[in-house]
Amino acid sequence: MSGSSIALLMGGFMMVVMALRVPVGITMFMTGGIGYIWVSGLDPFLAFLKNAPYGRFSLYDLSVVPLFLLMGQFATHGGLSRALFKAGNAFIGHWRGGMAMAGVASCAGFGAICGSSLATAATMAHVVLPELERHKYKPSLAAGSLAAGGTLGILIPPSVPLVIYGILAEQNIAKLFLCAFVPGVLAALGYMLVIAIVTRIDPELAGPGTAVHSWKERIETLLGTWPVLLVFLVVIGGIYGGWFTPTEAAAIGALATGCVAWYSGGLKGEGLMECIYGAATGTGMMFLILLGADTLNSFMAISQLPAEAAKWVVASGFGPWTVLLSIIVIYLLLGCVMDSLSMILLTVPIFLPILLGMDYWGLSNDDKSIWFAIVALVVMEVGLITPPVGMNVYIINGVAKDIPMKVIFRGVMPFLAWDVMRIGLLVLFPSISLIALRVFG
Amino acid sequence: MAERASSPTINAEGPIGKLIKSACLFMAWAAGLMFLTEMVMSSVSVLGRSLFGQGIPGDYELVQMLSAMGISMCLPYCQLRKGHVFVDFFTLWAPRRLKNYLDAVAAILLAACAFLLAWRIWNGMLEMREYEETSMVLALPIWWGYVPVVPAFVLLGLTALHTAYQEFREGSWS
Repeated sequence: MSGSSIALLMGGFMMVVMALRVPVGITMFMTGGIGYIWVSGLDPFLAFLKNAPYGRFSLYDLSVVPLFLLMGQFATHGGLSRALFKAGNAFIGHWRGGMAMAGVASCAGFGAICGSSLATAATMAHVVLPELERHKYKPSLAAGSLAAGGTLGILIPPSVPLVIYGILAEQNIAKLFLCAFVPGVLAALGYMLVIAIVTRIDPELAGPGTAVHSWKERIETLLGTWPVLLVFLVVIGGIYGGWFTPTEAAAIGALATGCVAWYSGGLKGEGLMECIYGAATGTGMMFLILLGADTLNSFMAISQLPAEAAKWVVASGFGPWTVLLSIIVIYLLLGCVMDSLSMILLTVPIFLPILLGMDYWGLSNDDKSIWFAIVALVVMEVGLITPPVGMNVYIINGVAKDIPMKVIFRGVMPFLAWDVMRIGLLVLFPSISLIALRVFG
Repeated sequence: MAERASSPTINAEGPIGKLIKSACLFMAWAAGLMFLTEMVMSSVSVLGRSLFGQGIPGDYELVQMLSAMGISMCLPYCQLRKGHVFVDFFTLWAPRRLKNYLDAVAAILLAACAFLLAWRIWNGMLEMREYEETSMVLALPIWWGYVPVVPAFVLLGLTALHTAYQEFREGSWS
């Protein structure tokens, strides 16, 4: 049997095992292990295991992940989510639907200090939902806007999935972060526009307008968000200016948010331990998957499947757009059952060579792989809010148990419409993703 | 749906369960200490570099070593909290009892993989020590970094076995 047929067979095995509730990382590890032994024999596999885990865990680029997670924990305990919402509310809260817009904006802001969508949705929902409820916003709009806004967490840098993509695609992480910024802002503005439109159509959705805040209040609340601005500037400016590495930026960011959390009393008592345990759970979760994916991808590489798949697709005569569209559909379907990290690890080693072998607008290979990163990330985000199972919707439902899932999904629909348009825009205009690189590069 | 929104509370019963729980908590705490050290060290290094033109020597390799140790020590705690990601989309229809049994089998598989890894990494460590491989700048022996990784994987395996036992018992009770 050829390496590729073994790989396809093992792919089927993996899907079955995964569906039977075996942890994703372990499923990948077993699939990779059995395939590795099948293709190269037992001894090479046992030799591979001796140093692969330490090699993976000690990769300098990956040391950024626990630090980002720690930063997110500190930010949550430091009350930064509340500060962000207050500032947003002071500026635009008096508009029709303005508080919901401020909620989306603060999700975007929180995304700038947190690399995970689920954490962003959960944290912001705790802060914003009660406020929206108090101001008589309809649950569908309140919950829908937060579920959608939460997806900004992985798009707006820092973003853990982009770090992983950068390592897999051998792309500069700083460049990826820079390129994700414009699409992230575009997404946030679009969500706010959606709120403006739906509240024009049905003014009952939003509560009565609140008083306009004075400029003094606005400046004061804005100053309260300084750690977010600092972290954002340090992460983007510092990494891109070449002053320091992403890990160092994350370290400075974590230290700054940690100081804020300490100053605001968020680390008192059990606070610090909660932060550590929270970061430990996230780290353990991600690195088990990474370890499994490492084994799986080593097997895939020796099976020659990615190279052969790329050759086959090019020879089959499918047009580049058919291929890209199929990949997007696959991501939308996978997004219903899998998290973005597993999806990236599973698909990028196979899909990226295929895409690089095709011509899109005459883009260079580097540009293509950055553009694909952004498109893929946005498509995966959409998976977080699509029925029947959108993780962010579950999270919002977990925070506000009185809002039924059906209502949240209904509230999400207008935002989903914008998401679909956004994917179209990003696919048709790669310059949206690449403009930051052209301006600052 | 794959990710767990919030981990369920830890329920460790019996003397063995309590022992495993304390060991997991200790390792997570130690991991946190490693990450906090990295955080302070990298920040000081950046500050030193920008103010005095000199960072902490060997800071990158220290970060690598601390990360590897910290990350591996997070794994058992994550299992204790049942935080490892799995796909439950295809078993949403299943009765509680079947899910318990499937989860018990999954935990046993996890334990088997963890013990296999612990054994291999132990061998890897012995090799590293034998070849006297050291880091570039500080000439630290690489095998030092392996030291906490082996017990971390052993504890991951033990924790998973405990999970399997709990799931199995829950399944046969309900």
